[in-house]
Amino acid sequence: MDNISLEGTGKTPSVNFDSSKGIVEVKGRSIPENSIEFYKPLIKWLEDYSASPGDSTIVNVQLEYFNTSSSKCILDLLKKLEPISSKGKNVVINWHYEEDDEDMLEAGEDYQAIIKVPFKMVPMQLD
Amino acid sequence: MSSTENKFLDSLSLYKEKDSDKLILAYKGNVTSELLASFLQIIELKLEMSNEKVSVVKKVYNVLVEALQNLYHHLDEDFTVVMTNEEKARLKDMATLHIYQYPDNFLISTGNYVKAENVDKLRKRLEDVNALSEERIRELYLQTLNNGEMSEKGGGGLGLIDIVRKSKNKLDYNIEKVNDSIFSFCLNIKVNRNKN
Repeated sequence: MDNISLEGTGKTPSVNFDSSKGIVEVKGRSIPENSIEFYKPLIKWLEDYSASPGDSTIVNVQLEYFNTSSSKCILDLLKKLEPISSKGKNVVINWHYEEDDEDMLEAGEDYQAIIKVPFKMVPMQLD
Repeated sequence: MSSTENKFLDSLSLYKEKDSDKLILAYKGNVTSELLASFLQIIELKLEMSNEKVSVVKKVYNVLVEALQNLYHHLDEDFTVVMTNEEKARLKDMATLHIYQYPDNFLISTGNYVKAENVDKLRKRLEDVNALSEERIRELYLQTLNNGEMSEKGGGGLGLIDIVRKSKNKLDYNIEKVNDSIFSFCLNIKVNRNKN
């Protein structure tokens, strides 16, 4: 399957989905007024990937900001990872947040409470 | 709104003349995706220059994103069919925004018009969210996040919940009748500058 590589913009995150390496990365800002259009192909990609995943899949979410329009799409996206675990393959979601950004930590914990995939909360030092 | 508060820009959002030195952004006009991006950029740069704490900058930015996108998503209804010419002239610019930086908090005030038929629903929504404890707000957020419902415009019914959750303050608002068909809606959101 084709990889997805997108540069970030002021309103949308950078994306790096690489099926051969088992890497799924979303970084930056996700604040489009309507996020459905942006996330639809990403959700479809993960759905296809999860049907025949690699032995190990590493998911890095490193968002600086995301709006509530994105939050439901991010949930849909991460839910597509659930079949990977049930196939007996490894998958982990690394949820990155700046160490004093409690809101971003809480957001990660929200997803952790809903999605049946192992989460790792990763604090990042501020510059 | 008192006449004094209404003087500046014929504002829908909160204009406090006595606090004009605390005002860091004022806007009246239409709301487009590009304009929203500009407001956010201005506020982010201004707060960075004023050495505001990163965690506070993030909170203000997040809350502002939701407040502006609420405006954006609710402005495209056609009001003109129910307006007189005088009202059309007055309501030409459909939204206003005022942001103040006080010693203890930021105040983000937005104003827009709402159709009369939607006022009861809006008021109920605001009162319902305001009645909830911090713990219940999180529960409602999770429940709404996971309900699988999304409007065509990409709204998920999470905006006001998220604003209350992040600001940790109740929503202050003012809804006033313009005529039988239209009401003005002013939403005031406080974000504390010192961590609780």
